[in-house]
Amino acid sequence: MSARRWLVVVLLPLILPPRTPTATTQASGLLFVSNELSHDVSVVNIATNTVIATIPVGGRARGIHLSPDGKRLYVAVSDDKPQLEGSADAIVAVDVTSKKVIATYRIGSDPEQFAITPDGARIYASNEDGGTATAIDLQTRKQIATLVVGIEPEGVAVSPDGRWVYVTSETSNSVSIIDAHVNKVVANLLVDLRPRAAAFTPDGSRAFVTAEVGGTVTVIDTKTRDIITTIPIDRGEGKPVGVVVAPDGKRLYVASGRTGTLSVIDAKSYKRLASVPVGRRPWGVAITGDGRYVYTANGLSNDVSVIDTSTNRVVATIKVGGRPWGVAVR
Amino acid sequence: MFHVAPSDEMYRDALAQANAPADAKAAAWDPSLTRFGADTLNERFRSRFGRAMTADAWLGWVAIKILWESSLRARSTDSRMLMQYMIRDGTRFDGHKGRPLSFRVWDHQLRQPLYVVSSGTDGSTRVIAEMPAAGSDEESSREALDRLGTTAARSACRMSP
Repeated sequence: MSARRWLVVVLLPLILPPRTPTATTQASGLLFVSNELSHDVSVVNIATNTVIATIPVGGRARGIHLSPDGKRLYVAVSDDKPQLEGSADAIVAVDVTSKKVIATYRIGSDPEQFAITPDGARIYASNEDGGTATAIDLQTRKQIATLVVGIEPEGVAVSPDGRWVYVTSETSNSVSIIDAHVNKVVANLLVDLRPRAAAFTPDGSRAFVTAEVGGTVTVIDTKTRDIITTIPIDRGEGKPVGVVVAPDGKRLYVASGRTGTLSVIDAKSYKRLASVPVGRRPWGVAITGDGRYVYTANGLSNDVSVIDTSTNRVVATIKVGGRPWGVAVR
Repeated sequence: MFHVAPSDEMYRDALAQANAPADAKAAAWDPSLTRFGADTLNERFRSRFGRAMTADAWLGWVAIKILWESSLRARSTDSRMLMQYMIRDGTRFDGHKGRPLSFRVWDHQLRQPLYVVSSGTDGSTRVIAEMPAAGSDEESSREALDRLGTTAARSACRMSP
């Protein structure tokens, strides 16, 4: 839970008249969904699970994250031709209040996944065809480092303390670890086949890396950089892609494209607690700050599944734009 | 010896199981493939060599990738160590085909999906099926891939694992 959210939780009773207990425990906020095909972002009111706005972003929208203060939304946008850097290839910043694109950051061709440092100062993004990762200063809009990682870099995650950046590379089956203090690659680990996304536990002690073709999640001890285990998803037959760790660090949620499921896994014992059928080809996953709801972007059914984490059931399905890719929630 | 190129039986089984039209061919790869990062690989090849990645080109690429990756994972360049790693149960490789590839213990043949391709009059190709078709939920990806080619029972090869 962010400092800002804590502040809201603490201050709300002072500002607002007393509300019913159910109202305060309900998720309240906004969900943002990037749509690859319709080149826009759907904005969903998560109290009602209805789309309240659509923001055009001028290209194929994929990676999507909110700034730590929740005021800005960053979206990776590209044209439909990978390899060549086109005019649409960029990460754009959207002002959450006005719902307008207010800044454009160039990061090379075909941007897909990226992560924001916890201080909100930098973005680290993968450049798939260049085999590199790029760091951008969000204030100056300048590229501050371009680092050689593996072949076809894909997923990017920053540790909660902002020190380490993990970049997964699909073809070389590797995770490159960048020290954000000096912007150097300090280690490369081999993980399972076709690593797609990474997520840290809130205490930063573990990192989870999904392997789409391996059908597993690789668990990394971030201190020793050893691989602790690999967790099979749907008996190893799943195609795990998006991954998110609950704010309390107790569970991880993994979207599996081929099987159309969300796997709920105990983050300590690595046992599967549930496999929840969601929409078709889920990719991105996000969880509310209170850990109550998980959202999956279902690319082939053009919707978002809302999963209640207390029952591990889909409680709502929201129609969004064309081929939803990622989700971000505040 | 390891066989990365599909056997004649694998091609034949793919065509038969797909009920393919008479002019269709089975291939290990096609430049029009897009899923599971095939588009990225095809584009990378094209931009580097100025031509489409044919099935032969893919076979050469995947053979080198398997050797390179086996060497990294086995932490060795010794051929016996590499062979042990390649044939070990649980060893799998990614060839941008979506399903994990592995070697059959009995004949050292690489398990892999094949594509049934029809050719247009202008020389262009079109993938009309990926074989073997996805099986039941109970069938593993490896079991499904063994529906192409010679089974252990039918194989004349006798290899020590």
